[in-house]
Amino acid sequence: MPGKSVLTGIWNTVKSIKAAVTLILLIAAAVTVDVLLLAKRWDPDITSTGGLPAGIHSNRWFQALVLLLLVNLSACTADSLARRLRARKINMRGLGSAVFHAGLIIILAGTLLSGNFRVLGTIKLVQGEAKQIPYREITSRDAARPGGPHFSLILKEQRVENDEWGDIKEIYSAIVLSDSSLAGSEQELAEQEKVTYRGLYMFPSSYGYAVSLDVEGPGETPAGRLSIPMETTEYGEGIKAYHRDSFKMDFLPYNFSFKFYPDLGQESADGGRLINRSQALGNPGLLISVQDKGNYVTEKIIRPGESIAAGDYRVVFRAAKPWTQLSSVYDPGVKPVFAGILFSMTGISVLALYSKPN
Amino acid sequence: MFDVRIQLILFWVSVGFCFLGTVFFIVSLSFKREGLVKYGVLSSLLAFPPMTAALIFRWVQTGHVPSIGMYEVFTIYACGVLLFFLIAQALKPSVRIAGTVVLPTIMLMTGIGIMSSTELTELPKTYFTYWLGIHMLFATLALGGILISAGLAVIYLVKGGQEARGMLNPLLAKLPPLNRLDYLGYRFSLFAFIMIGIMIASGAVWAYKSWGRYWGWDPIETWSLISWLAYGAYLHLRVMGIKGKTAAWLHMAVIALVIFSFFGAPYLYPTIHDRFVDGTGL
Repeated sequence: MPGKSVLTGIWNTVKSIKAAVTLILLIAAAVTVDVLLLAKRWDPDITSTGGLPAGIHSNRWFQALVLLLLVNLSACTADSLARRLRARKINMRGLGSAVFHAGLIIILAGTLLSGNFRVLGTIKLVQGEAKQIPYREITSRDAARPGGPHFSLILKEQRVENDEWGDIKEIYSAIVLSDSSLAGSEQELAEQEKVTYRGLYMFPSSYGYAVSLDVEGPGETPAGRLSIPMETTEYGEGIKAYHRDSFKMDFLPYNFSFKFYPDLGQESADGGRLINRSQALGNPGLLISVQDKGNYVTEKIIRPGESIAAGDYRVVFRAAKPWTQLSSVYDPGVKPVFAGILFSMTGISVLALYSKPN
Repeated sequence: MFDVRIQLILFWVSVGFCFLGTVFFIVSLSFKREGLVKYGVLSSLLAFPPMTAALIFRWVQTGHVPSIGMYEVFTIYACGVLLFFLIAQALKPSVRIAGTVVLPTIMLMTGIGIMSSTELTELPKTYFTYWLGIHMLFATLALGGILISAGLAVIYLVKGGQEARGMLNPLLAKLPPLNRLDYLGYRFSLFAFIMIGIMIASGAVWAYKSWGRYWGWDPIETWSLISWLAYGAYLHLRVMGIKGKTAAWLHMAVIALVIFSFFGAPYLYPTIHDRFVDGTGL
């Protein structure tokens, strides 16, 4: 029967070691080309905050190659095991090989899950403010996935530990996590220490300050209250700048730029440019620049309780608070990958112990 | 006591013994003086205590496993490979001659290490984990397996070539037959394959604990994966029947790739493994 012989031919190809070697070499070649090209676009900071560089691993054709290897491995393993069972030739070497390849199959399945369903995100928490986190949305690549359950995070306190030279040694964030079914659980986390919630993994990755502002309209009528997180830019050697550029408030026609100094000082005793004397909150100051349609309106440095006038409005600097940014990772492929690693390591150890020369 | 100068003196003593051992191995092969092999092994044995002492001094001085910067990384790898060679040759005396390749490599690695900056660097927070030790241990074991299998592959090719020309060096003639050398090389490459696999796996666990992801396509990670895949392809080709000279040359190509992954790739890219080579980054 020609149909049967075609199927047999396909099966023989799928389960062949030649196909496995071809696929392994194809994947290795693709990854090699990618890593050589990567030199031009690589940024180690992306990975250290949990991100991934764009590369061939996110392409469908590469995932298809991995899927083909998974199918080939499954077929090879199943065929080999079936042949051994039929011949009643189950030995430790065969068993080790089967377990090793089964482990690889699980790893490949896990990596495909990660590649298609891993979600990375960030959550910025300002000290003292509660934030509702939509669990379904933050664990899905489909942003429009409304509905519960939600959980809340509060940065209760941020504590800075300095070294003997006064530089920051460690920052600890006391974070309270709660949802409707749980009493709030509090954890104090240092950088890269994690808190997990239903498979969602969160860890502090950066820090900074947020400024609280009151905006008053004509006649000192309250127009709004805002908490604006500053962006943190690091220049090495522990030098950081806290700023927010081109910020627009809904109720004001102006563009604002902020530069925040946690411990304001001047370069020299008789003046000079403004500097940060330390990264800890000491003598806070906020430089506000106001622009209207690209035209400079006013600029002033103010302390807590002071204000700046912008047209008929007045912006009052109330206080500065620290914020902690959590990097979040939801990856359903992690467990299969680690389970697969255990399997494959067990299998290959057995295989190595009982291997024979070919 | 734990001063860098003392460490450097100890490392130089070690390099001296490695040099001596290399001379013994090469002379034994070149001038057909079989008796010198045991002096080569003795020199490598004598190189081990000062190297270990220097690393222990560094450990005490820094308060962490030597693993940051070229000075620490190259010397700890060299010491690990030396230990691996000493154990392997004690268990299987037939691999002794691989010292011809292994010992000069150890000497070169130690030399590169001690010529690099010995400045103390603070360990980043993500390194305060026992996974660092596990990762380094298996990297060292992998390197040991790779270098010994490289030595065996070289000896195989030299002996094979001489046999084909009908003018076999008497020392090489006393070594195991070609098929046995081939088998030993295969076993060590299988060992290296497993060790690279565990090194990658332990790195994945460590990365997951530090950054919430087990794989980040960091160039060094990727080069390790390429090496592992290349080893996988090589081992499968052996199962398919490729052996002898072709297998030895193929093996040499894979070894070159792995050596590049270990020592070449970290210089091509700014990676999160930068700490390993220059003590900066992160």
